[in-house]
Amino acid sequence: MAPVENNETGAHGAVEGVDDPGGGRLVRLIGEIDISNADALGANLEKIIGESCDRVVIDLVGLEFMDSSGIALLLRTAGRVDTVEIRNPSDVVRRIIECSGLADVLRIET
Amino acid sequence: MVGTDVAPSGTGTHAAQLSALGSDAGAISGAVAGTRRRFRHAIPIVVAVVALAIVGSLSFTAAALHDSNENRLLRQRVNEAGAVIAATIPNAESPLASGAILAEATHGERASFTKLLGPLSTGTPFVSASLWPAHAVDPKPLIVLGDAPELASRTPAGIRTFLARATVKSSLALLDLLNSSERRLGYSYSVGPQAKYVVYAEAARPPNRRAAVDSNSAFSNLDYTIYLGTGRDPRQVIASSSSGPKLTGRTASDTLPFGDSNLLIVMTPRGELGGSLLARLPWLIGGLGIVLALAAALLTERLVLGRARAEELATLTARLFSEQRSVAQTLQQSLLPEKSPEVEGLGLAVRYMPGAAGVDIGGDWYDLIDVGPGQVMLVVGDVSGRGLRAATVMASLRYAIRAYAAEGDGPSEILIKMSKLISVGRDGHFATVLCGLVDVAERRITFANAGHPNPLLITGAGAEFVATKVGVPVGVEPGAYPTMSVSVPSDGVLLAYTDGIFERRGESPDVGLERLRNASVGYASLDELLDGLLRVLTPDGGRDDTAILAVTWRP
Repeated sequence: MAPVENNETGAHGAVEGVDDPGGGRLVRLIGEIDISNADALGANLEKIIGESCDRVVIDLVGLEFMDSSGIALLLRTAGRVDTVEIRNPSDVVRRIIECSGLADVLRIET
Repeated sequence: MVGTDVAPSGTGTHAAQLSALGSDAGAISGAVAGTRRRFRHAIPIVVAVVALAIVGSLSFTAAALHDSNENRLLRQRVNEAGAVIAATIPNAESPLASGAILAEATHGERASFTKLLGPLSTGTPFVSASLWPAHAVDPKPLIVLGDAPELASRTPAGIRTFLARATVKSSLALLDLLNSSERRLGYSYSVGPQAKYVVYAEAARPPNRRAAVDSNSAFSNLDYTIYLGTGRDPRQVIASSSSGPKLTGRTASDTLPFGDSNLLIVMTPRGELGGSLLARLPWLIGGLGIVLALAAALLTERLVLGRARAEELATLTARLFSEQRSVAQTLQQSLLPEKSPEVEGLGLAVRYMPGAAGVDIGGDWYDLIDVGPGQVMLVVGDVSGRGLRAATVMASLRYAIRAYAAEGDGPSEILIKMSKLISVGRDGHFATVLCGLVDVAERRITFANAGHPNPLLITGAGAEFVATKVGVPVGVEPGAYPTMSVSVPSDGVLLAYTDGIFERRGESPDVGLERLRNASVGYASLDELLDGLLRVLTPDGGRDDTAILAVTWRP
């Protein structure tokens, strides 16, 4: 479970990737995501996911805050792979996803 | 803050602002640089002066320490030398004392006197020894051994006076013959006031008064001069190790009694008594200190320069940011409708408030499009992210919607076409859009919603959200946007808005929406409603951009 990438940015966000026991990749988003660090985190996220990956689980257990830039980051990831699942979203993030009509795109793991 | 109040700004105006910005920034930079330049050298100079003052005082302290150490060592050596010389005085005194006692006991017998002092009168320690009557009117030597005494060449009165000194008490009396032709010292001794005889001896001094110091002696690193008496009179030099009789520079002296006179020992070091390191220390401190002080001054100058540059840059950057923000705000507000369409039977009010957060503008917008008799398309949208790029995406979406609406597309068709226009993967932005076709005659509004917060229907009975069918935001994937219609009663107000009015960081949207719902009742007019909501819900101006739009029926 060693972190593949860990990048601290202005909003103190980080992304780290680990091998998912179910195949695919497990990615953790940590800290805060806003417009100041979304691009940098997105670049790291793409590196972690790589080219040949059809299933990504994004774990938000360590995420403290995310604005629409963070949603865009998740949506970009969802556009690159077949299946994206969101794990452990906070109630706030869950409601933002549901209210924004994104529940079918960013599936929340049950 | 009121969208309809915004003066339109053409592209030409923006270009002029941007080019003016360049020269302004240069002028500011120059002015700041001028102010800074005056102080730029002052601080390094102060640092250099302070550092040099510290170096100087350290050097001075080291020199003073060295000086006092040398003086202390020299005094020690002089005292040691005095002790050594004092220990040799009995060498001259004791044979004369023995001779005096012998002469009294033998009544001046020649044989025993000669036996005692003869061997001592052949040069070392004496060149001449003689016995004199103590109280004669015209004293003549009774016995003479070795050379003729210089004393004999003096006047009878002078000889009497000297011999009287020898009989004052039982001690050595000294006769200064240093400036006579033979350069001698005369010593006399008697047993005291009752003495009948006085023993007298003369010792020769080197003609040039020089006496070498043995190179391996304890005093080899010192020059000395020994004077007879207590003053440094060159004529009274008994012996000196230096060529000039007068010692200069650092000297120390010691006086020790010698018979009825004194010896003055003056010493000066040939080198450094405390070692050469201590002597060089002030110079080492001075040299190193000056180098360090100059280095510190140079470093300070560089730091001051760097800081001045950073401050210039910060001023310039702040200026550029504020200019950029004002340019972007002007651009964004110029993209918002200049005035709402006049539709009979329909009351409209809009507000747009730029967020206070940072320099970046948001991508919020609203639009009201007259699409035919008694029909208006109302649009509220929010492009994700901030900045000029988000505003550009917003502009393209807004004009696309206007075009589709003009062609007669309904809300659902418009959103379907919109969702193909942008892509979050390609553009980095997605957008939530609420489209509502207002039918004045039917008093109905038909909504299609791409991920946007639901509108609020405010009636006399209270405020309730309209449960539109929320589809995926545009730019995510091709979606279906089923419509739903809502009847707005004659006293009803429909409120559409972007998330800036209710969203707070770290708070569930449900909480913010409930706050909005509760705040929306009890206003008499659309303008009062919108102003009241902005005042109550974003009292500090709000972090995010806020667009808010209200429609109602008019009789």
